[in-house]
Amino acid sequence: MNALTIFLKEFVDLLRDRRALFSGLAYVAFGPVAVLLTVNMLAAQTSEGKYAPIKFCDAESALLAGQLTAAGLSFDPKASICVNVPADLEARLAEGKSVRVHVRGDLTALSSTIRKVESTLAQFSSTLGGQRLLARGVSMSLTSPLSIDTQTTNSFSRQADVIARVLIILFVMAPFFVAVAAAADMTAGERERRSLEPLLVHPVGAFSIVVGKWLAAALLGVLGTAACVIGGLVLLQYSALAELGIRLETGLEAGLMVTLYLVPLTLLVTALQIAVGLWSKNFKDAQSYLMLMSFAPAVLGFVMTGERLAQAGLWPLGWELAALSGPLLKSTTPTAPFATVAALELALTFTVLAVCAFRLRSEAILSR
Amino acid sequence: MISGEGLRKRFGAVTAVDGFSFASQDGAITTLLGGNGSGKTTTLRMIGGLIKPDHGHVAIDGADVARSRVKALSRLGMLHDEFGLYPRLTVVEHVRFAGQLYGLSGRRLSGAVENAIDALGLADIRNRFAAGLSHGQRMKTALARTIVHGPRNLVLDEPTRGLDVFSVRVLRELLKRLRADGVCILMSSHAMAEVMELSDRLIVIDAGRLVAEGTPGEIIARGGGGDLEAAFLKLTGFAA
Repeated sequence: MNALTIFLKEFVDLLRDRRALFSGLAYVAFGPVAVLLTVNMLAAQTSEGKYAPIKFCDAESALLAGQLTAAGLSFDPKASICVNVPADLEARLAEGKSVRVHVRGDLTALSSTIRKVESTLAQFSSTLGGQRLLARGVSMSLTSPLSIDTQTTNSFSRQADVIARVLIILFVMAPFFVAVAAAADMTAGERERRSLEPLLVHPVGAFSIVVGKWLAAALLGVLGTAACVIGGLVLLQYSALAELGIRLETGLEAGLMVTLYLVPLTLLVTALQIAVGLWSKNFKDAQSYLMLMSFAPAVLGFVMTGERLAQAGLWPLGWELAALSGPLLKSTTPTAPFATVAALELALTFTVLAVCAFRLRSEAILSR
Repeated sequence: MISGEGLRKRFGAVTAVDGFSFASQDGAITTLLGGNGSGKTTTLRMIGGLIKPDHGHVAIDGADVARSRVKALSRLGMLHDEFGLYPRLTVVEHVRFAGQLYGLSGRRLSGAVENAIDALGLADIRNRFAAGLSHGQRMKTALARTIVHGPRNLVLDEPTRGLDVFSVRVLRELLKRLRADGVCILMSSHAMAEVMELSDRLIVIDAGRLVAEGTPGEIIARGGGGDLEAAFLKLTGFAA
């Protein structure tokens, strides 16, 4: 009953705390947006086999148009990349003279198309030069001793794998970021504004106080994580993930499943945040430690890949990083049963809360 | 009644309270008088169960604070020197929250909240957030929170510090009324005028030890006459 009273007070207090709410909602709002923009930018830069249309700036050349078309490029009068050639290009080439060709376009946005135009023209120039030498009795191999063929190892599937992992890390980080300011305020903040002593002289058990505070932070954490996951998936329906070869499940069912998978972790993380807050000297210290803690999923997510991820077993955080690929990517990676992991994380949560209650009852909590 | 028996408390090499015993009776205002670092705050914290004595025990209406914490604290109301309000809660929310923590609910809670609000004259500002209250309004809110459950024992840590004359008068009248109702009131204070007007008994402590105990008149007499301030300084060794 006392825990419920404290929970309700803390939650009302939290809803009026603009700093805590903004801090929590900032991640919910901006995290998925940042991923959406990144995905779309990557898709635009790396759309394999697809080039922007080109055109001739003024004079046209059927000879070059044939070469460029054969290389997979297409012509469109509205294209923003243009190739500028002199009107007498073919006559000068026939006379064995050199010709200057300009390629104009936005190199930052359309680099792959421009590079394709350049390489096609360079190859044609080299072939033409070789033919001229051959006509004069000189072998082409003498002037081109090296034949360079570049093959990228940055495969499509590898890139898709990295992006999918970033998405999973984004969702697993939500429970860490959403309640940072709230947990710091109701623990270290409470001590800093000297409202902890009046609270502790009430006939209320320390465990009830801790549970009440934790419930408020955990509720914010669960709601924020659900908003981040479901809102993020809705937003990602408008992303270019499919163009990158990623088949992401963005429906409500996937969103609810991911949220459910993250609930036990959220409960554990908020309990740990309460603990960090109770051991911190003041609000700023607590916020700094909790922000550092929030990057744990990112660090672990990039360290644990492949076999390591498959061996995550029951480890909190490791399990979520491995298991979320199930509902999101329809991956069949084997993971421990959700119920087992949830039971373990709940047991850890209550252990942390018991330690917090011990801390709250200690005299050290009053020292500044 | 609040009593302490053979209280001793050390923090590392520092002895804050050194074998101190006292008793604060029902229907009387007892004041702890002592300089900074004399052991007043440590004693009050032991009464509130915030720290445990290394030796001795504190009892509230016979309930040992260390052994029967919930029973002892449910009979106590404690006002802290810095009030410790929540900036984003209103006056009435503070009082209601405290009442709930003391186990009140339903009509009993509503009635107790209204009584406390009325007793401190807070009706006009009941829905204002604590962040916008003056020092005096904050003290009244904290005091309303402290008395909402009708405690038979009241502990106040320097309650008049920083208050204007109007707030001091409200506090003074309330304490007199509670004393008349038989409430045991134990407070610490440096304001000699308040101490003289309100206190039935004085407990003078220095370096964690009892120096003198008695009515204000008895303390002045033991200090060689004059006024309370001169007697206090003499008894604590600050004046010849």
